[in-house]
Amino acid sequence: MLLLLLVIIPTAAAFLVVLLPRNTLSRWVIAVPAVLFLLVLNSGEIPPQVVSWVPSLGVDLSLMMDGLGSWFALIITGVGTLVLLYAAGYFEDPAKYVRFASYTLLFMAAMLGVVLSANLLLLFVFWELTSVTSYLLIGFYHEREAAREGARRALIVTGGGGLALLAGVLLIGSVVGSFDLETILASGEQIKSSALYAPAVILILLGAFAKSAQYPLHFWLPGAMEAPTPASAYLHSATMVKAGIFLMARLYPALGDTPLFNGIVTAVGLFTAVYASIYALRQRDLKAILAYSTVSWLGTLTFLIGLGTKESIKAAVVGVLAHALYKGALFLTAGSIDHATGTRDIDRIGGLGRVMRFTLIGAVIAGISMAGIPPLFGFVAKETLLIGVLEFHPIITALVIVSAVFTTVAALRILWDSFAGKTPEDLPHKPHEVNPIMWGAPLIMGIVTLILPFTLPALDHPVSAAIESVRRAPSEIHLHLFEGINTPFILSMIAIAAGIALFALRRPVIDLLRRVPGLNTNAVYETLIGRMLPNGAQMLTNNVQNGKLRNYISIIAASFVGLMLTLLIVIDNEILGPIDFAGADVETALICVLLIVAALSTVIAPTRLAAIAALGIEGALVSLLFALFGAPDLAFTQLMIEVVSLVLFVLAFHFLPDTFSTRATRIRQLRDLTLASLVGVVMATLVLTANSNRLFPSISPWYVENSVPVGQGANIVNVIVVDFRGMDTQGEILVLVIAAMGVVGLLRLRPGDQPRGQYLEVDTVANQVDDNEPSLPVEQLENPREEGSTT
Amino acid sequence: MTRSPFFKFLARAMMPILILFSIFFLLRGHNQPGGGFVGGLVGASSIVLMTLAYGAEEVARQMRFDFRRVMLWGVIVAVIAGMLGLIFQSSFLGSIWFKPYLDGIGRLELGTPALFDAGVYIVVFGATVAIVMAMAEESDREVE
Repeated sequence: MLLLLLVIIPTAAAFLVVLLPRNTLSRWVIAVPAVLFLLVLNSGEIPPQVVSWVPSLGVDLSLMMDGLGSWFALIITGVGTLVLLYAAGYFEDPAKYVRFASYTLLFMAAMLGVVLSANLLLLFVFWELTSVTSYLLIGFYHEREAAREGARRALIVTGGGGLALLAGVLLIGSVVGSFDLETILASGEQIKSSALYAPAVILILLGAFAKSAQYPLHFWLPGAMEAPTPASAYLHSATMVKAGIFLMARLYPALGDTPLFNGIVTAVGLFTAVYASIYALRQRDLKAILAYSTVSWLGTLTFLIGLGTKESIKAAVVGVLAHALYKGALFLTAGSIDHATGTRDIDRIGGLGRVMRFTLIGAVIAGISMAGIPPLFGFVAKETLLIGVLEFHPIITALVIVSAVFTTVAALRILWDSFAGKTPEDLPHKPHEVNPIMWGAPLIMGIVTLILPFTLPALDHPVSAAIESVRRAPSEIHLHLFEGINTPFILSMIAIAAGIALFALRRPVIDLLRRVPGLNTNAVYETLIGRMLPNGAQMLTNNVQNGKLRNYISIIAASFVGLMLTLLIVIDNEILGPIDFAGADVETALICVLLIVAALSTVIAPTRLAAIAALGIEGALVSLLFALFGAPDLAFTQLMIEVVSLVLFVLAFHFLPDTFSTRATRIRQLRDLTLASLVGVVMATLVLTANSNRLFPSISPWYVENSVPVGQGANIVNVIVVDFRGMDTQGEILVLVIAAMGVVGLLRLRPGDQPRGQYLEVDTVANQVDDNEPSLPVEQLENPREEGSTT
Repeated sequence: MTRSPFFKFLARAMMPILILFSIFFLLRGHNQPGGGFVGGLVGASSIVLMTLAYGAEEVARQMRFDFRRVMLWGVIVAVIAGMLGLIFQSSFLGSIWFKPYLDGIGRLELGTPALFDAGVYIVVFGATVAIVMAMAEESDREVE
């Protein structure tokens, strides 16, 4: 019950806060994540609780809280509380705060769902919900073009990754035969020996990498910095981007410990860690620096999972918390600086320490933690990290140190270049201290960072539990602030010293970095999704949906011929059985001859009216045929349809010239003739084939027997329509209504007349169009003067 | 545009006959040829005739109700018939029959399939008339 509440409470609060009056009282919504935090803190591990949801698909609403889930849930609710607190100071307008709080609570519910799911498909559903709510938060300032673009990009990349993840999840489900997480985690051997293992791993990792911003899918994260700063602090450093890390850790027992999984994860993570830590220095925007340094740290966490030992998983678990605390605080600080000065350009600001004293304290603690300087929690994280990698190849250690050095430089740069030195004169606002809520929230994070290293034994149990859920083996660990002068400590000191040295020389280094080509994959995205996709779609639409009925019918007919011919050839049927002419008599033969004559007259008729008349005769003959073969209902309905469509044809052709245009070229006439004949031939073959191949016993006798006793009606056709197959009829009448509304709606978009709606642009082009061209306005928008005739 | 007075008279004379005929088709449908679909078409043809004789605007003014709404009512009637089945038979569109015997007249057969058929009738009636009238309005405008 508690687990369900953890997801339901924030969701309900998100809706409630919107419905209640929006004033300063709305800020008490902070109590929601705070209560959740205490609930998680006070509950131990909870075994899966199952509520059946979609049993036919194997999806259950089953939640559980193991060591890993509880660790993440604590971070999600804890950081969430502080972020909502900060936002209360950040958004002065209560209406904006309410909107932000509502989105954030929804996101929190989704994120808690991800870490607490005990069913892989359920996890996927929550995973997608985090993408959607994150889209709302990144696009929070939806009136800004850049915010919309950033939100869209994040959604496309993480949503695309989500599709890959879904495919991977389904593959795993098909191997194991269940989506239950416990079952899947217990059948690691079965999954790894399956032929679907490699595709499943690659697809799932694609989803995890997209979410956790691993190279080359990392570029959406800096773009997502258009979000309000509290959202960036929460989603893009503390929680959502860690979902990918969580997923890899969660599925490690099922997928890990193979060269494929560990190889990919380690390589991608290492490259991302080093690349992004260096790339961060190029940036000028405070938030962009923080974003790239986040990407770098996410890379570190990724390869730690790839290494897969007890020590490396320990480093990842500790690293998640350390990073959430210091990066969250720094993001909030960046928001305060933006608020106080009106800019986040690190080359423009400076000397803020003098006016923003309290902000400075929080920022310094967080920055020192990020730089990995003792005795802060960041130092503990870096120590465990170095212990975790030392048993592997020295190259890995070297790369980790490179990344650590650059992270130190970035941390010092953020601190020094914003708070030290002289205050510039040309800032958009005169710098001032922000309100106590805004400096308070990062300060609390800083204080936690400061206290945690001295209360490490309290963390021993939760960290051990988290490692156990990843490794599925007893993993008792102890955290120490200072383990004596050993290799990791010395390496750590070297990294700090090198970082400080490099920081002193930062100017030439940054200039150099800005001149080197960036290896950024954003340009690839821009080309593919930004230009080629819309252009391709436009081209396709222009060609396929050009508003000419003739083309639509040609495409439909050609598709029909193609598909049916394939079907007839591929499926090995006896194409033509013995054709039985026994039932044929003189009347039938006469009607058939007349049918052919009417069809031919329709085609060669010189005027439209004659063609319509011939078509009417054709329809009447068909109804006669129905009547002859004992289907009076069908015959009568067919006749009525013929009457109504005749009227419609007359009304529609009113707009067209009386005679057919002769402008159609020979080639096109030939093409149309071929297509039409093919449709006829294929249809005839199909009917004959269907007649001579009976795959299942006929259902007709059942209808005949049950019509009166069950359907209480003697007219079998009617009983089928309104009773036996009533659902079909329900669908059909809906389609009819939709079609009628479509016709009425389209006719309202009349070209060449006063517009009734707001279709002004349609009207302006419509004047250029030939009078005898009856077509949808769409066409006039696209290509006003292409092919003047209508055949 | 001048419209033939003879055609006008014919359309006017035919209209009640066609509508009665269409209801007759709807009601006999369950046991003999007929039903909601064809009944709706016959009913619609009466209005279509009027539209051809008098012009869409004149008919729209005289009819006083909008056929685009009529068809939506048809869907609602059909859904109600289905919901009755869902409530009393626990399956959407499940059939329920009620057959009281009326003295001197005979057995009255009422059932949700008949109600459903009435929904089909209304939808077909409304949709056909809505489409034809929309087209006719356009071609009238063209003529003027």
